[in-house]
Amino acid sequence: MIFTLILLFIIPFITLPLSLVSGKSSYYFGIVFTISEAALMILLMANIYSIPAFTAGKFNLILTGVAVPFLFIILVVELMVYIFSLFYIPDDRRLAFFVGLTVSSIDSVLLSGNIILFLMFWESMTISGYLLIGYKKETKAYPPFVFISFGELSTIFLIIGFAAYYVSTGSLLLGGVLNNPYILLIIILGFTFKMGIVPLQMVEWLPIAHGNSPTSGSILFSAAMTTLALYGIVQFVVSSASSFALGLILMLVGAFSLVFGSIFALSSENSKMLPAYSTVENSGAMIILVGLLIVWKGMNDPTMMAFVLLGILVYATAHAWAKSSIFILSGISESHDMNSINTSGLSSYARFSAGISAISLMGLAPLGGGIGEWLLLESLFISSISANLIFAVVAIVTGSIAALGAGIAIPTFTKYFNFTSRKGNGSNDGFKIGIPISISGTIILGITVLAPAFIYMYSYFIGNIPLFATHTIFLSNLKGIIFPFLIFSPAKSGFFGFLSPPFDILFIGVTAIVVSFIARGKERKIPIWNGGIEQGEQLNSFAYANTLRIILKKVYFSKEEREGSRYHERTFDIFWILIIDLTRLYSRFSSRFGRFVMNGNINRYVQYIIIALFVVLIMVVV
Amino acid sequence: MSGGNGVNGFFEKEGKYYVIKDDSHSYEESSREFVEKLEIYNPIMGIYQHKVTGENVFPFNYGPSTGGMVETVDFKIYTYGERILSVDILPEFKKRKIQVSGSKFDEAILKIERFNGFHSFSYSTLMVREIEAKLGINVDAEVIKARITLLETERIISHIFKTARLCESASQNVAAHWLFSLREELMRTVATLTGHRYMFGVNRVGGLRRTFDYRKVIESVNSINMQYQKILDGLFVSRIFIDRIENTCIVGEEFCRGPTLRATGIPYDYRMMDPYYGKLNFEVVTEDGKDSLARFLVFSSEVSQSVNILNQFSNSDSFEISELGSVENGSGGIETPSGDARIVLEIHKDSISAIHIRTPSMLNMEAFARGISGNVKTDIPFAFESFGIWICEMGDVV
Amino acid sequence: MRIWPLDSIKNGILTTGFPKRKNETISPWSTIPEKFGQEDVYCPADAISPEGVNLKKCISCGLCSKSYEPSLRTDNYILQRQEPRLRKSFKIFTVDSGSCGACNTELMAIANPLYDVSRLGIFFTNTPKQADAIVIMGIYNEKMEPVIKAAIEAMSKPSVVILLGACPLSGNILGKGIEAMVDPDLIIGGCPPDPFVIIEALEKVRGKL
Repeated sequence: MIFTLILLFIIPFITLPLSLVSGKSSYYFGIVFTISEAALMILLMANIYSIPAFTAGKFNLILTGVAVPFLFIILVVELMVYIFSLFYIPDDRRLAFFVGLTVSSIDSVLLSGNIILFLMFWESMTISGYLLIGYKKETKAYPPFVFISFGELSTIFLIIGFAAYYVSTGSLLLGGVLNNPYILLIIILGFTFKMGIVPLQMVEWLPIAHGNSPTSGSILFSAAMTTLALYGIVQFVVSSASSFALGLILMLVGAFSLVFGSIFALSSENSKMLPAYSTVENSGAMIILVGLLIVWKGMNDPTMMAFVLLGILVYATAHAWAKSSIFILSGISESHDMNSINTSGLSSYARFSAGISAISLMGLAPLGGGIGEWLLLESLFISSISANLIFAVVAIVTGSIAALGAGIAIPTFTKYFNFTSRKGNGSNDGFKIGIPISISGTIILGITVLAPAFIYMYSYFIGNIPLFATHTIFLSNLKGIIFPFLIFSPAKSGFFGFLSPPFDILFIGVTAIVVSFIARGKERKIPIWNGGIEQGEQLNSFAYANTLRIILKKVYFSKEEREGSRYHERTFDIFWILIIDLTRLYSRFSSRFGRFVMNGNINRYVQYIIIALFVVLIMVVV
Repeated sequence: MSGGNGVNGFFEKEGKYYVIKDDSHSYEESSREFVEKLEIYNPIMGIYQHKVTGENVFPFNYGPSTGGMVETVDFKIYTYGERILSVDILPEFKKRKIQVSGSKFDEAILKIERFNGFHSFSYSTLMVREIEAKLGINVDAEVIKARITLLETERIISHIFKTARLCESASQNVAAHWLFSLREELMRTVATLTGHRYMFGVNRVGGLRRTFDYRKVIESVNSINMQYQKILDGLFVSRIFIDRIENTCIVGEEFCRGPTLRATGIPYDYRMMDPYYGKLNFEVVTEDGKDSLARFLVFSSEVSQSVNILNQFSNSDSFEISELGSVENGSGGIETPSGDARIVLEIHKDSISAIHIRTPSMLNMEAFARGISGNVKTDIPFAFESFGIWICEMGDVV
Repeated sequence: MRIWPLDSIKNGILTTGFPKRKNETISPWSTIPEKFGQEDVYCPADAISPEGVNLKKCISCGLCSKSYEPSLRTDNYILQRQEPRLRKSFKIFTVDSGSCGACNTELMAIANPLYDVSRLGIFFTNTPKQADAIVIMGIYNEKMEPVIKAAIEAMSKPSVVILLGACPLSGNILGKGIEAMVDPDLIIGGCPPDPFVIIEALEKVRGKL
């Protein structure tokens, strides 16, 4: 069925003309095609069905290898975007168009068979993202500008990297064996710019937090684009030759990003900035896993490679889906100030779903995020007993930092859930997100309940990738637990560790039921004890995280200002301050330079460059 | 040294306002505007107010009824999380109005003992001396010696209690329990000899109601002091303890009284002008750290000083009564263990017709409120204990 | 350099065996006075009547020493109701409604090594939600009335209400008592009560004696 691939490629674009007619119809269509395509991906991963590559001149489409699970993850994210949009602002046709455009570009990147197509759709994704943030008139100028400039920086690195790739491998097709680690590094850098890792995290939070970007855009940036960039990295890493040093560097970079992302997330006051920073943290975790993959690849340990790749897939799945859900929750209020949000309109199941998503992002087992976190830490701790001393030390350092970051994520999302799910007066927006968040919560719960199925599917699929000469399914029946319900991590001989999410659910569930049965009718409601007087004003979200802000004063760069009896405390993202300073320096230089060389409108100029770049790319393809 | 303008306290009587100046025992007429400007203590609200506002700033309530404090007091901590920007203190929950004027002397003394039970002998002596001065009664040397013994013993008990509470708040539980047991031993001695653990009912106008051998108290005090010094040796080498209380709640000299004032480096001790102490040799202990550690050091050195004072007249038989001086040249004040208290008293026949009292806690509370801002919430317990503030002293005596 | 544990061993056991053994000491005038002479005495608290001394009113001043002497007994309390379900563990929350500070410190004293009530399973707690007993001290104070009521309300059942000292019982010579406001299970007299009296009373109310 050669046309299946063409069909897969074309279908997303159908939403574009539909959106011009009505936003709703494009969303309905989107829901249908994402569900059916996701089902197809499951068939592909189960090896029941396969799709041959499609080639017409330089137009190569292919869907094999790691692209399949990543497309699966992203399709589910897109499904959530469509469902959310359907309930949120169904009538905004322009928004529907840009959402469709972004979704189509993202899907096309995953189907690209050669670097030119890859680059072209990557660029088109960046531009459509830019339009998605900036299409509203009232939008501030600089957030979309930051987005596009970092997007273009990413593209520039990718162009350089891909050119070198072409020179090195002599082929435009993806999957060539790249022997030069520097080229691989440039390509990885190009992708990480899009993921928003420290110190370039502002590419992640700035457009989302300050850009008036619609929530559907936030989901796409934070969940889909990050996962896509991860796909790019994994795609090139899997086929390239391994470099020990590169692996270690990635591990350390990831750890750095992880810990900074988590502490900035905890101190965020903005209901969109917090999850965006959490994405920075999770990107760091995934980069660590990529680093591990590279190192283990160099050590020729197929079992560990398969285990690490499983970690990447599970982590990416859990993160992308839970993050989408959290952003749906943030859509409850136009205000981004966490203290003013309340979710009175939500049903108890929707509230439960929001809680499930938050707990998953905390990285607590048995939810999906917990399984991912467990896979990450297990991979690191297995590595720390490696015979290679440097690797072992880096792994243990990275492992402790990762554990620290994961620890900080718990108060972060406790805070987020507490302050976004408070009941209060005056919010009627509950109906808008009630159904979407119930659906997304159910999906996240599904990862937990069906955890063995996910592990089985991914392990089985990894075993079928030719490069991984192993068919290990990381499930066992030890410890008195029936076969598929125990996940294990491999050691040199035998097993390293175990996790059984179904057992956890059973344990928690049975305990809860037994306790509530025993305590039936004995519950006692008493007012809050506040020293014997009426409770006054409540703890706000700023105060919640202020302990950390005081402890890490140097990191946060926080400053206290006092005018008479009025106090202010400000926190800054130091990396952002640094970049702003650099930018000021640069703009002073360039405005002087510009007055000499040209006299024009800078915005026109940017638009001209983008369009020119795009046209050039199309010309190259044709 | 005090609430500005050398004013030490104030009161209102029949619509007129009076102030008590430093180092004096009489009062001067003043105006309400002047009193309000003093910022010592808001007489109308009874609140130490330091409200601040700002983005994210909210009042966090601690108290009034909590196991962490000995007495009932409410702190409204203005904070944006963890750090105390400022604090309102509301002592009025347990504010008592004690009707002393109109009472007979005996009853008035019983009431003033129950004004602050912990420092009851200081307050009863304060009142008794004032009455004796007004009536022109001269008490004999043995009574004065016994009174000094009990005053200093009360100071030692109070200081041991404060250091113990400080240790307890700073998680030095072994030391804290040891100190509490020392205090208990001393109180048992006092109870056996005077008939009451808190020296209630011991004082009377013109002498003591229950006579006792003060030398036995001094013996006990000496043995307690030896053990006390041992514990201090252990505490001074504990980095954990020192680090915890060092730089906590640094105060300026404004509003401070007693040991708190001396911990800011100012050698002011009412005992220097107290006729009872006349020519007794003792040095005014000062520290210049201004923090909880400095106050702790002042307390602990003052215990030795008190023992020193007591030993001076217990060891030497040649100690002359005349050196003790006479009550008539002054009084009107006394150095309680927490600082100097002042009294203004009018008597009519055998009863009290008017009374005004300014206690050290009224001022120290303001010093605490000012010092605590900038610290974190967990600093409150030992910062507060280091001031030796008693909320019961903040009631009204009329 | 001090080695605390070593010092502790050197000091030996200071803790009393009370209530199994006899109390070592007692604050004489804190116990209820007994008549020995016939001379008329003045009582500022009006506690003396032909029937004897009213422990609710006695303020331990000793003004009656001409014909009364301290009994030195530890039974200076009245038990209204026992709660044997609190036999194993007993957590106390204290409320000060307007005391002079002496009752507060006497109650605290029962935790010091010389009494060490933790050996009997008596502890202090910082919130009424965890408390089995509430001990109220001091005279009636309008502002504290809602606080006391809220604290009693917040306690889980079974629980006991204890009034400590002459102030809450009769208002001392300073004000009004608070006995009418709450329904106490145990009242302890004295101004302030001796720690031994407090320990015996607490053991009684939880049905251990």
